[in-house]
Amino acid sequence: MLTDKEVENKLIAFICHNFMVEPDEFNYEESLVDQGVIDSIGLVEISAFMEEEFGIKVAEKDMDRNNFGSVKKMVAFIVRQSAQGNLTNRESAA
Amino acid sequence: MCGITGIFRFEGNTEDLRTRVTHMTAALAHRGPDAWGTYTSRDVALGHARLSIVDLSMGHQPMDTGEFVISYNGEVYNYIELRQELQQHGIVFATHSDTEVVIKAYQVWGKNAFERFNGQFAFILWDKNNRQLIAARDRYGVRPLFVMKWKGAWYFASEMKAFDSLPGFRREYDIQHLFEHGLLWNTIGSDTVYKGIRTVEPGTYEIYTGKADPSVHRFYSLGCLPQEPPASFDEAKEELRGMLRDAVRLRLRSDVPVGMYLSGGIDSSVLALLTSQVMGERFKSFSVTFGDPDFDESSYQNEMVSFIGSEHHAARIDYDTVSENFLDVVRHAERPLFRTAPVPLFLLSKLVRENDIKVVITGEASDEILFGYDSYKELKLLQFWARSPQSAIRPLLIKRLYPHLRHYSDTKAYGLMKLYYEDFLDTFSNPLAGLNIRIRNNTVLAAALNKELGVKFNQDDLIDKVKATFPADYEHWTLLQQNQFLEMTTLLDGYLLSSQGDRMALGHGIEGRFPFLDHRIVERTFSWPDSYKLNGFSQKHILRSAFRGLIPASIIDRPKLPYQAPDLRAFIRNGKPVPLVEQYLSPEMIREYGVFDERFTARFLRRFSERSSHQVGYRDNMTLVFLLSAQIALYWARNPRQTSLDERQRIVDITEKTAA
Repeated sequence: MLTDKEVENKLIAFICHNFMVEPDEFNYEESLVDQGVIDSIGLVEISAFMEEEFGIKVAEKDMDRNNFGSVKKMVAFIVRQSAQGNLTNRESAA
Repeated sequence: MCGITGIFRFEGNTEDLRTRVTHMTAALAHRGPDAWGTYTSRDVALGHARLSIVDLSMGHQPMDTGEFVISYNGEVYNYIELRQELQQHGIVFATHSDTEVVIKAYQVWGKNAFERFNGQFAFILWDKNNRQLIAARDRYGVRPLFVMKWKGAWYFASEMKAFDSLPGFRREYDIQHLFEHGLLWNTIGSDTVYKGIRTVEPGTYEIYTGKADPSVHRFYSLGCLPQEPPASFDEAKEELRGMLRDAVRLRLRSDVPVGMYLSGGIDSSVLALLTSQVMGERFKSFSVTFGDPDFDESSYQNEMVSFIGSEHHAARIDYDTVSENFLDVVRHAERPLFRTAPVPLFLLSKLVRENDIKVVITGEASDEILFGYDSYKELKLLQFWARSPQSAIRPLLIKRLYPHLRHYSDTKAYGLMKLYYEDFLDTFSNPLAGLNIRIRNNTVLAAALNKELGVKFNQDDLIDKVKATFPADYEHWTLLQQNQFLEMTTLLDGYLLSSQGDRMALGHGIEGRFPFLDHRIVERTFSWPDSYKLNGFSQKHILRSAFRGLIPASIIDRPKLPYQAPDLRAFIRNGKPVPLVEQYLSPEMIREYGVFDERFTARFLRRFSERSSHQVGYRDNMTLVFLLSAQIALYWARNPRQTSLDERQRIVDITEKTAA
């Protein structure tokens, strides 16, 4: 089981690599869309990354500001989903 | 169409003034390949490169009437009516040109003349008696005019590359303006992306009397003309047909044959129909076809061609054509681009030229004035949703926004799209209206800029700056009307009419004419209820209704495609940048020019090796074209192309000996 910090580091590394920002260039407690870090396709990419990297399931009902509204909220969501066993097997997720 | 240049208050001698204005004019020879001329006096020099369209034998420029001298670029379509009116005032005309009408209208009506002009124009007029220079530009910015104050003199030109001929001058980016251009697709107000260079704003004229800054006066702003109460929808349809027909009729006034651009969409199809009705004879039409069927609209074009029976010519574009012509295209555009769509337009004007046509009717601005853009739909959706933010039903409309995009109709991705748009619920009604989404998407460019330049994005500052350009009534308009103003002052002026319009057509000496921008139509349609234009999600609703049954239904009902062009596929092949990209975005060149961040650029390019071009979105596309074109535009500013004029084509050479 990954710690919050490990999840956060992985997520931030993904965001920096894919959206060409430095870790200190965006706020982890504000919306990535609001900050101009990602566009709508960026949300699709991040949710695919969550499923592939952490093996969790992202359902339509999960897609709201509570879960996706900031890096911190995404981390909490990933950790919560993992703990609740809302996992998908990696083969079917891929 | 033509290129104009001017110098005012130069602390040099007349001969030097004449040489300078000649060099400046030479840089614009592509705009007016038929003839050229100069006027020089002690304090003022005007230059003109002419594309002859009306009164071919006379109408030479700069035109000197004794009291006034003008260098004029454009067409005032109602010049015949104005001429008659002026004759009733006892004015005598020496030519049949609209140029002389413009001078004499100013002579009689002064600054009130401008609002009488129906057309597209930019001119520099020297009023000898009052020793003042007037620089004016049409209502919507169809024709360009740039001004630079440099070393004690004012310089004027249709294109900024004319300034590059001045000894010791070099264009440099103003990074803050460059960033704003990236966010909005245009600089704000009279700014340009270059330091010290301004644009005369559309709908304004400026008066220069000496070294002090000019006084700036506005003769037009959107919504300024009083209108009768809106007609019923059926009456409005009839009115629209009549207005468009008259706008086309006026724009067919020319002493050379007029052709037309056919895109395959409803706007140009409507104009093709009206052109064929008014002209009553066969005309030439032109279009672009793409080698890649994903982008090709030729089936719709062919349908319209056979419907009106035009003599049709098509320029075929493939990926190589785009990358091969991109350097030239950016040289003409002189500013960063966001799409490669100017390339097809550049090649289209070449094809038109090869077919002995100098003037084309084209369908721009229908999307702005009749609410054809997606930004209008997005705003409507957000407005509807915001009235009941908890509603589960209202946001379902998102699925109908962009049915052609796979991730929008996919039920799972719907959740993400909802999330995306939800973020705009709090902001969409701020003064930036539909631009909020564009700005948010384009903010990525802040990270792309060289960090040492210290450019920061501050939304409040941007709002304040944009607000300063709003007409007095802005806050009383509907959200969609506000969005129209913003679309017209950003996308239309800063990109469609300039980078993709004037510069690409005049790159090959072709003049575009825009019936949808007849100010009578813009003003009248502006006054109509929003629902006439955007009905439900039916865009340009009234245009579709007004021409149903008159043009093929397949064109009226065709699904609207989003902008598509082979941008990425032209620049990235098999995950690898083509040589043009390798060169201009190389670490060495990024470092040398110092505009962009080296690390960002490297990471960004690496992104493409990791995914196919089908997997990258709007933003990556835009970012790549922006970075590449910004580098290339700066390359041209530093390495201007040497141009010269043929002395045998100099038809005007006036040097005023006395102090004028």
